[in-house]
Amino acid sequence: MLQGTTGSMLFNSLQFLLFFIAVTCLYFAMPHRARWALLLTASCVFYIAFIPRYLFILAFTIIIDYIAGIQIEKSSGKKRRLYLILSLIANIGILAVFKYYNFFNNNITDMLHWLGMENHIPYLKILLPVGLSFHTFQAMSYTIEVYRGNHKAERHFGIYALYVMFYPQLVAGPIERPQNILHQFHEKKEWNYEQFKSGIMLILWGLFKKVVIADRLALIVNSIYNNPEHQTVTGILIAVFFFSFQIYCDFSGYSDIAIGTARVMGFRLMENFRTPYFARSIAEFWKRWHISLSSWFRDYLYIPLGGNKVSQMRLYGNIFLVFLISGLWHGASWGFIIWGALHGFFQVTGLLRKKYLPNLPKLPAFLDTAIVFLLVSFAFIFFRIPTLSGAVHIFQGLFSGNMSLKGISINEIIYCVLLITGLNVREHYLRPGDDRVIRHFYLKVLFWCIAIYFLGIFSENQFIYFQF
Amino acid sequence: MFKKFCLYGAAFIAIAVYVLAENETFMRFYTNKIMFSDNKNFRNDNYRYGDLYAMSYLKDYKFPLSNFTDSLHRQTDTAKNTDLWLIGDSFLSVVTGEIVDSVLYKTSLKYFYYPNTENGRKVNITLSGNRKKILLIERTERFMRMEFTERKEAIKYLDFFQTDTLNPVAGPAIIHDKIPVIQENKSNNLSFLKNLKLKWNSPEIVNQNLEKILFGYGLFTPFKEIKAGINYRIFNRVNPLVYPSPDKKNLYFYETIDPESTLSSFNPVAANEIAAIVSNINFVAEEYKKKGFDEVIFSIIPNAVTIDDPGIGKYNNLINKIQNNDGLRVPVIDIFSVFQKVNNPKSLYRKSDTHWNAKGFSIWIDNVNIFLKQFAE
Repeated sequence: MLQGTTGSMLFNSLQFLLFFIAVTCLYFAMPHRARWALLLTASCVFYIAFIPRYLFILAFTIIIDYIAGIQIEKSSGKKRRLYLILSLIANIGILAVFKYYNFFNNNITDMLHWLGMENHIPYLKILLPVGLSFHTFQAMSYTIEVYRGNHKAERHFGIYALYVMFYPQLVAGPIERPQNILHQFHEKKEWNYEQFKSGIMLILWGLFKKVVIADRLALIVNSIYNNPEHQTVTGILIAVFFFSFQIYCDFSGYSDIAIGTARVMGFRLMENFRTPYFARSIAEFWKRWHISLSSWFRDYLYIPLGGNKVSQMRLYGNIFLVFLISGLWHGASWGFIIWGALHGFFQVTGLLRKKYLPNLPKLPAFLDTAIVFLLVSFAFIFFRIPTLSGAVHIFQGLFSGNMSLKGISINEIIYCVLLITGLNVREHYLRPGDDRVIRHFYLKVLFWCIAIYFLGIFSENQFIYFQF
Repeated sequence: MFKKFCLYGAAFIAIAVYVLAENETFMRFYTNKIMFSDNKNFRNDNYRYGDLYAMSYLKDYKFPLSNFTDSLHRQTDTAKNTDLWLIGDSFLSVVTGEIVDSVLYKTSLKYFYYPNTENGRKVNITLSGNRKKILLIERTERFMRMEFTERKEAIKYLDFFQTDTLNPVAGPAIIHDKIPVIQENKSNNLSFLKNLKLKWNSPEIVNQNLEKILFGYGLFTPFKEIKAGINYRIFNRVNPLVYPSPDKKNLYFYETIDPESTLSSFNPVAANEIAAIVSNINFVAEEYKKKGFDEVIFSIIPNAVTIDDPGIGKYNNLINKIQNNDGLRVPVIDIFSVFQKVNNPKSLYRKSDTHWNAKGFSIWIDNVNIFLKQFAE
């Protein structure tokens, strides 16, 4: 299936810079009553820059969920449940058609082929709408929260549409909850210089992570992963470890820009990353990595399945299932499913170890962190190469015994290690994005702009998570 | 009130720049302005140092483009009985139609620059009278496989000159590229203002245009050079579109080096592909002859790397395989062999540009004129 990202307004483009200036200025110049319309129009323009016709899909789910929310609130008993189910079917149905139909059809073809039969189910020639999994999950969290009585149904159609479409987090999250964001669209936001400074600093830090770190690492990682059959042990190890930081900087960079963009206008989006590679267990890793998604799965899948108030065996099964679905959420391929399964396996193994080997000596913190990082990096091989044959090449290379470093600049590797060290020091000790008074703002902006320009890679690289 | 005014003003400017970057007419006008500005800080340096320099901003390869007119002999000895029609590509576009016209041995020239067909511009001609009518098709090596392997591509060559019309073209009809590469256009025409429209489907082009509008000035060139220098010297990285020669004296267009690309001199070419190319060249020539041309000739200009550094990879020998193919029924001006015999082959192409220099062009012209003289006699 083709990815729906042909032509797009990326956060790391000049197009977005002008868009951001225009929308932010108009937002504060316009009266409060007109602001929702401005933001909704801006979000449509932002989405249209990807693939215009997929705006209709968004409109379809928005209308369905808007009506469903009101009907759920009005009704009770079985009817209330029925409206929720209809809304979920509509959302999951769109995901199933656009994201998973061809994948499952492909597997049916392979299976029938193996049995010597032919598959007559047609394939769909469709593009995957950008950010589909993100806005579908956000829409579902609304109807579920209304059903649970945790949030009132939104009566203002424009505001509800904005909840699904708010441009900073439309295509790659954070996946918001109605309790956190919906009320903010009703509030009158006043210009706040401290908030502006904090937002801009977060945007610049996000940009730095994306264009200076992630895109630089990508140059090395891609050169190795794109030719897995010709790689050495050293090359593969470098690619595996660098990819962990590439995807972190790519995705958390996007989240920082999204949160910063919203913050400049006075909106508070939820935190999405909290230095995940400092986690001391896989469970802790998932409390720090893509927080908006992992908490979504916790609240709307894991807990409804019984949470931790079930038998041990079922608990392990539930955890495994949640991670398996989480893998499938990322993409319709076996690589993502294996990636999810591996994380489920790691998590269950951790629980088993606690239960059956409680007296194992405690490792020093840095060793725990290192082991978690190794496991996460290992699992990312299947994330980066979604085809099984590609992953096999990588593992063959790992055991080839060839330690040479061919085709990679030593200077660039040293530079990347320095960047990664700087990243970890800054994020662990300085916590960018914290609320505190920012001194020497213009000097800092100048510094980051210069650093981003001279050290950045500007080749309109897509953000990795756009494909989900 | 003042704050609101400023906010609306900033938003208006941002939207206006965005809209202008979407507009092709404005961008043509603007490109012309920054190309030929007298102000050094405003002027865009891209067009002065070659297309490969403009892609890479490598200061080590910043060579001013030499002038074509200095070393060329104007043709005073004009053929009385030969009209020449010419389908040329950017190798002739960088020279400009006027210069090509002045150095060729013929009575009149109708010159057509290849990409114009993409924009729906075709030349209506009438082939009549007693004068000999020659069509010369000049094409660079890197485009040969792309344009002649498939019949559906080759057939596009028949669109250039429309002969099924009675509209005569008087005198030389020299048609240039949409944005002249060398010639100055001092026009202050603001007609683009009537033609402003938003397009939503080309963000890549809009971003390139925005870069030109916001940072495309000479003022920014030193910063671009510093950045390119850091990447080149420390990480040995250059813009992926260019490739520094092994002796670090000139740049090549990477597609002509990349063994994976059919534009490359080092991508193996199969015998059946050569047969298809030859067959399509024959087809185009025969069709034009049916339209009334007395002769159709071909000239394939080698990629710079084919002449300068064939040892970078294993040369696919595309030009020889076409030119020496037994099935080829079209006369060719074999500039490949001539270039190979030049004492210092690196003297034929510009060092920071994909095209030839005055010497390379001059040698080609001499060989074309030899052919034209033979034909005219």
